[in-house]
Amino acid sequence: MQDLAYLLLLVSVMTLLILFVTFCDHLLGWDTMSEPSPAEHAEHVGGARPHRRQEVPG
Amino acid sequence: MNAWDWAQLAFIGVATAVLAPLGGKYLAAVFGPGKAPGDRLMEPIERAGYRLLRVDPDNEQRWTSYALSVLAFGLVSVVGLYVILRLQGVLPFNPTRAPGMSPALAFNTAASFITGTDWQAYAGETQASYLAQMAGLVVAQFTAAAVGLAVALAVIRGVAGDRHTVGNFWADLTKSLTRVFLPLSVIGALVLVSQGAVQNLHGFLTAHPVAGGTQQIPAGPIASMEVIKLLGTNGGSFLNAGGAHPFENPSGFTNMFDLLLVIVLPFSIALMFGRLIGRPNQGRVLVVVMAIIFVAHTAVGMQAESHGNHLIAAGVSQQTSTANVGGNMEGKEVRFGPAGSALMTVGTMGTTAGATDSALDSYTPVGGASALVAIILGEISPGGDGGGLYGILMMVILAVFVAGLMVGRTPEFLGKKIGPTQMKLAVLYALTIPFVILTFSGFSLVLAGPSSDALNPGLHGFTEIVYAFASVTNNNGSAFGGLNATGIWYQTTLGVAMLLGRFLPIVLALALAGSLAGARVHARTRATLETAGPTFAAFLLGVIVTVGGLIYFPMLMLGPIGERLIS
Repeated sequence: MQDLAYLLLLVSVMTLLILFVTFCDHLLGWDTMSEPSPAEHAEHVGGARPHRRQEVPG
Repeated sequence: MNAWDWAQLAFIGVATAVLAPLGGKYLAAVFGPGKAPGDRLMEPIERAGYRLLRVDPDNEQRWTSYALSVLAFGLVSVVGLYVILRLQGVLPFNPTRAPGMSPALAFNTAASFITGTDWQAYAGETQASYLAQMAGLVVAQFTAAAVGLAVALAVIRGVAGDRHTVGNFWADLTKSLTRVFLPLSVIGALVLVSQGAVQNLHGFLTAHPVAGGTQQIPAGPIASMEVIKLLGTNGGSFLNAGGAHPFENPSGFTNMFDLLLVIVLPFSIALMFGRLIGRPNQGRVLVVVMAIIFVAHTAVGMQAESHGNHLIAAGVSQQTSTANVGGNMEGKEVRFGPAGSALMTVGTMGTTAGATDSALDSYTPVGGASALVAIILGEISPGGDGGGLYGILMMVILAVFVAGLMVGRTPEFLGKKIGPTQMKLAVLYALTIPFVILTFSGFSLVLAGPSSDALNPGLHGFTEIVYAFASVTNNNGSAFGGLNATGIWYQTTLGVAMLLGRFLPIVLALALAGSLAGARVHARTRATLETAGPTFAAFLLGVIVTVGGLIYFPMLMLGPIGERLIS
C-alpha cells in the first residue's frame, strides 16, 4: 500500500513538472504573440505616419 | 590559519588552475564540431548504444522535447532504483545481508541519487546491499552527472547557437558517459586504490581485537563509488562516515585529491563554454567569479575553525601549538586537523557534491554559515557538473538585464537580445529554489512533530532544519547533522524537495535556452555591453551576492548569524 502511495506521489510530482514544461512553452508563445509581427513592426517603423498634435483653436 | 593551512588552499588553487584549462580543451573537442581524442575507440560503442536505445543522434530536439526526455529518464530511473532498494533483501549479491529498505526510505534514497543530491538517510555498510550500491546507486551517480552535463550543453546551444533546436538528449547523455565520466572514473579509482582506498567484494571481515571479542570490519567496492561520488559532484558515500572514513579517504593526499575530483570538472565545463561559443574570455569571466566565491567561503570556513569555538570553556586551548598539535578538533577528522577538515567540507559545499570529512553540526556558527551560504548562493562556486554552468548563466542573464537598465543599453548577451520572456524565466529560476526551501522549512518548524526532530533547541535547531532543506533542494546532499530525518515527514518532504530542486531549474534553464535558440544575433557595436571583462565580472559577483543576500538574509539572521551574536 505504501509502495503505491509513493509511486503515486512520484508520478504526481513528475506530472506537475511535465505540465510546467507546457506552461513555460506557452509562456514563450504568449510573449511571442504579444510582440508585434515583423510586418506590423515594419509598418509601424517605416510606414505609419507620426501622430500630429491636435491644434486647439483660439 | 598557519602557513601549512594556507599552503593546502594554495595547492588546490594552483592544481585547479593547471588542470581545468586542460579539461576545458578536452571537453570542447569532445562536444564541439570536428574530431576528438578517443573517437576511434568510443564511436563504435556509442553507435551500439544508440542502436540499442533506437536513437538517431543527429535528430535534434526542441527544448520542450529535450526537457521531456530529461523528465522521462528521471521518472523511469527513480522507479527502477526504488524497486532495487525495496527488493535488495531477496536479490543476489548481498553478503552483508542488508534487508529491503522501507517504502519511505527507498523513495527518499531513489529520489536522492537520481537527482544527484545523495542525501543519505541510511548507513551504507549495513542498509544497502552490494547489488544496490553497484547496480543501483553508482549507476545513478553516473547518470545524474551525465544529465547535468547534457543539460548544460543544451543551454549552451540555445544561448549561443543559431538553430532552433538544442541538441539530442540521448546523444549528449551517452557521450557524457563514454567520454567523460567512465574513463575519468577508472583513472580516479585506480589512484584512490593505490593510496589505500578499499575495493573488494568480501562483505564484513571479522577482526579479533586485543581487548577480546570480535569486531565486524566493513569492506566492499568502496573506491569505485568514491570516485564517481566526487567526480560526478554527487556526494553519496559507500560508508556512513563518508570522507571521514580511512577506507574511503585514506590520507592527506587523497583528502586534497578528492577535493580536486570535485571542483576541477565544473571549472572545466565553464571553460568549455567559452571555447564552444568562440569567446574563451567569456568562459574565463565565469571561472573567475566562481573561483572568488569558492575561495571566499572556503577561507572563511577554514579560518573560523582554526580560530576555535568560543563556547568551549576558557582555559581549554584550541590553538595549534607545540603542546597542542590538534588545535580546534571539535567535530573534525583527527587525521586532517581543523583547516584540512574545513578545506574539504566547506570547499565542496559550493558544488552539488557536499562531500564532508567532518561534522558541520559541531562547527562554529561562522564555519557552519560559510557552508550554508555556499549552498544557498545556488551551487555556482563552481557548482555541479553542468548545473554550475547553467546556474551561473541564469545569473548572467539577470546581471545583463540590470546592467542594461543602469547604463541605458538594450540588454544583450552573446549578441542576442534579452527581453521580457528571458527575464521572466530568469526570475522564476532565482525564486524557485528559495520558495521550495522556505516553504518546506516553514512547515517543518511550525508542525510539532517535525520541529521536535531537531536535536538542539533554539537557533541551532532552526539551522539544522533549514540546512537540510537548503541542502537537498540545491541537490547538495550534505547533512548539517543534529536532525532526526528518518521519519515519514522528512523522508517524504526531503524527497519531493530534491525532485523539485533538480527538475524545476532544469526546465527553466532549457526554456530560456529555447527562447534564445535561433534568435537573431546582433553585430557587436561600441554600444554593446561587454560581458567578458573584469567590470562585468565584478558586477555579476555583486548581483549573485545581492540576490542571495536579499532572499536568504532573514533566514541567516534567525540561524547562524543570530547564534553567533547571542552566544
